[in-house]
Amino acid sequence: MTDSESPETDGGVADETAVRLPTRGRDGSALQQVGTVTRLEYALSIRNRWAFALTGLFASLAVLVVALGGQGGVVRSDAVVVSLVELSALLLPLVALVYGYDAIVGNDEAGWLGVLFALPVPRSRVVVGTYVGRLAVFAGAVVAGFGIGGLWLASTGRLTAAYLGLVGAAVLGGGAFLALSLLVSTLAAEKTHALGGTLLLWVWLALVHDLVSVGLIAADVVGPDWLPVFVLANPVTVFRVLALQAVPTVTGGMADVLVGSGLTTPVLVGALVVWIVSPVWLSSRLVARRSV
Amino acid sequence: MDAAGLERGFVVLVVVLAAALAGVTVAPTSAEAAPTPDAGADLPDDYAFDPVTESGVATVGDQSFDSVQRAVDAADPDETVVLRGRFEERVTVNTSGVTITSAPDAQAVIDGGGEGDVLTINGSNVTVRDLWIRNSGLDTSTNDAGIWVDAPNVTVTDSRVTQITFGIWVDGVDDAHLRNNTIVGREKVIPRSYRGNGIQLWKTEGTLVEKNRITDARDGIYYSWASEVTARGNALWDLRYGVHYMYSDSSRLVNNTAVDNDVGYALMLSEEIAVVNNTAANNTGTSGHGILLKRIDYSTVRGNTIAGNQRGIYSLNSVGNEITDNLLLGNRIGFHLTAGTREERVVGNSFVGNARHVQAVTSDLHVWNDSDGGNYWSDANTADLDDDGVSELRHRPSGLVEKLVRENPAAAVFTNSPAFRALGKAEQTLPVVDAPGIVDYHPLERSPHDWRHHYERDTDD
Repeated sequence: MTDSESPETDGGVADETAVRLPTRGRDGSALQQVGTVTRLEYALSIRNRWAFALTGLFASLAVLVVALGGQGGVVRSDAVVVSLVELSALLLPLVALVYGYDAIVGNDEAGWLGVLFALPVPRSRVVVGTYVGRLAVFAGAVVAGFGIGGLWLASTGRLTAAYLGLVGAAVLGGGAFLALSLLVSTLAAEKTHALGGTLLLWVWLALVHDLVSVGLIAADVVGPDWLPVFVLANPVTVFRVLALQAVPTVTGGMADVLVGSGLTTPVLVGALVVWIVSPVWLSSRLVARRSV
Repeated sequence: MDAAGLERGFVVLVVVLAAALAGVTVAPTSAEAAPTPDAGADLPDDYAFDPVTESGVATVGDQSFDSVQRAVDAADPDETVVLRGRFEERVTVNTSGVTITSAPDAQAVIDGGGEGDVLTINGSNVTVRDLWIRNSGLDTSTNDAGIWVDAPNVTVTDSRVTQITFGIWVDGVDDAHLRNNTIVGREKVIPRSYRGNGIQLWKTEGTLVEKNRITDARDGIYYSWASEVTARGNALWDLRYGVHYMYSDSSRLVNNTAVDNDVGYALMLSEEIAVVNNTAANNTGTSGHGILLKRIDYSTVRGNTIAGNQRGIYSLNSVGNEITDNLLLGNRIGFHLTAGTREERVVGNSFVGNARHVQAVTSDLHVWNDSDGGNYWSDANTADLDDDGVSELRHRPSGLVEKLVRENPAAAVFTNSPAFRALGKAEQTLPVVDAPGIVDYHPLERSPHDWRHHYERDTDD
C-alpha cells in the first residue's frame, strides 16, 4: 500500500482508520445502515484472518475426503459426499458456533459494541448487520473450501449434483448454526458463558438430539409420525437429510428413507431458512435488553 | 497484501471458485449411478423361430405317412419315426420304445391348433428328439401341455416347446430325462399366474432336468411331490418363480441360472434338498427373492451367487439348514431371516455391497460362525492379530440399531448420525450389549469369493 493510493490513511495506523464507521445517521435507509455494519464486520473478519482460517479448514476437510475416497483407484463420488456430510455434521456446527459466539458479547467486552451503539443506528440493525457480515465470510469460506474439493473431484470426472447440493446445504446449515450462536452471544452476560453455551448447544445438536428422538419413537412415547418433527427440530439433522437426500440409499444416502415422510427439498430448505431468520430476529429484539 | 486488498481478494477467491464449480457442473459430467453387480447371463428377450411351411411327411422304415399319429401307430416298438415339415394334429404315442425325431436337414413342427395337449406319451421308454411342439390349449384347469408324459423312462431332448400353457408335464411317472430343450410360454397371457409352468414335475422320482432354457411361463420348473430329482444347468428368466418346490424332498439344484424373475428359487415345504452353485440375479419382482426358503428343513444351500435381488436369501420358518460359501452381492437385503428360522449354520459366505447385509426378525441371538471362521462382511471392522485370515473382533450385522430401524423404518434418518455410529461401535466391541440378532464372532478377513469381477463393467469406462 502506498500513501498516494489511499489518501485517508497515513500509512502508520491503516488498520484502524481504513475501517469506515457508519456515518450516514438517520439519513441512511435501514438497508444502507445494515449494509454498512455488514461491510464493517466483513472487513474485521478478513483482517483477523478468520475468513482464511475457515477457508483453509473446509478446503483441507474436503480435499482429505476426496483423497481418501480415491484410494481404491476410482473415486466414488457418492461415498465422498456421504463421508463429507457425516464429517460436516460434526464440524460445521462446531466451527460456526465457535466463530459466532463472540459476535455480540465479545464486541461488548472489547468496548466495540458501545461505539457502534452510540451511533444513530438502531441496535437491531447493528445485530443484523453483524450477522450478515459474518454469514458472508462463513458462506464464502464454505463455498471456497468445499469448492476446492469439488474442483478436484471434477478433475477426475466424478463431480455430481449431490456434491453441489452438499455445498448449498452447508451454506444454509452454517447460516443456521451461526444464527444460533448469535442468539447465544446476545443472551450471554460474559464471553465464557457464551462459549460454554454454544458448546452445550453443539453437544445437543450433534449428538444427543438424534438419540433422544429415536429413543422416544422406539419407546412408543410418540408415534412414528413424529419423525419429521424431530428432523425439523434440529438444524444439524435437517442439514444431513438435505445433503443426503439425493444420494441413493445403497451408498449411504437417504433417497428411499424419506419417501412418504413429507420431508421434501422445499420443506427442508424452508426449515433451515426458519432456523436462520428466527434466531436473528430474536437476537435483534433481545439485544435491547443488554446494558452496554 | 494490504487490508483492502485482502477484502477484495477473498471476494475474488470465492467468486472464482464458485464460478469454476458452476462451470464444471454445467459442462456434461458422467452421472455416476449406484453400481449394480453384473451377474446375469446374456439371455434373449424374445425367441424368433423361422416358421415351417412345407407339408409334413412322417417316415417309418420305408413307409411314409402324412400324419404323425398314423406313423406312430404303424411303428413297432424300438422303431424310429422321422418327421419332415409341418403337421397340424394332436398326437398320442401308445407304443413303447419308439423314437420320434426330425430329419437331420429339416426341422419338423407339430402344431396342436390351440386345443388340449399337443403330444401325449403313454408308452414307456419313448424318446422325442429335435422336434418342435407348439400351440397347445390355453386352459390351465385342464392342464393343457405341449408334451404330456404319462409313462416312465421317457426322454425329451434337443426340442422346442413354444406357445403352450404347460411346457412338459411329467404326470406321476419316474425317470424322465428332459435335456437341452427350449420352452417358451405365451408372453401375452397376463398375469403370469394365468399361464402354466415350463416343466411340471408331479409325483416323479429320479427325473433329470438338464440344460433347458425356460422363459415366459408361470414357474420355470415346478415340483410337486417329486423326489430325488436333479435339475442341472438350466437357465430360467422372465418367470414368476424360476424354480418352485412343493413337498419335494431329497432333490438337487445345481448350476442353474435364474435371472429377472419374481423369485429365483422358491423352495417350499421340502426337506434335505441341496441348492449348489446356482446363480440368482436381479430377481426383483413383487416378492423379489434370490432364494426363498419357506419351511425348508435340513437342507444345504452352498456356493451360490446371489446378486442384485430384492432379498438375497429369504428364510422363513426353516430349521437346521447349512448355508455356506454363498456370495450375497448387491442385494437390497442380503439375508432376511424371519418367522422362527433357527439352528441354521451360516459360514463362509461373503456379504458384499448389500444395502443391508442382514435383516433378522428374531428374539434370539444367532451365532453365524464355526470355531475356525465365520463369514466375510464388507463393512466389518476386522483385526487379524495372529494372521490366520480370521478376525479377532466380533461383528454384529444385525443388532440393536437394526432392530430399531426395522420397527421404525424412517428412523434410518437418524441412524447414520454420529451418535448412532457410536452406539453401533459400542455394540461391536462391548459384549455387555448382547441384544437379540446376529453375531459373527470370527468374521473372515478376506472374502473367499472373487466378487470384484461382477463390477468390472463399471470400472471399464
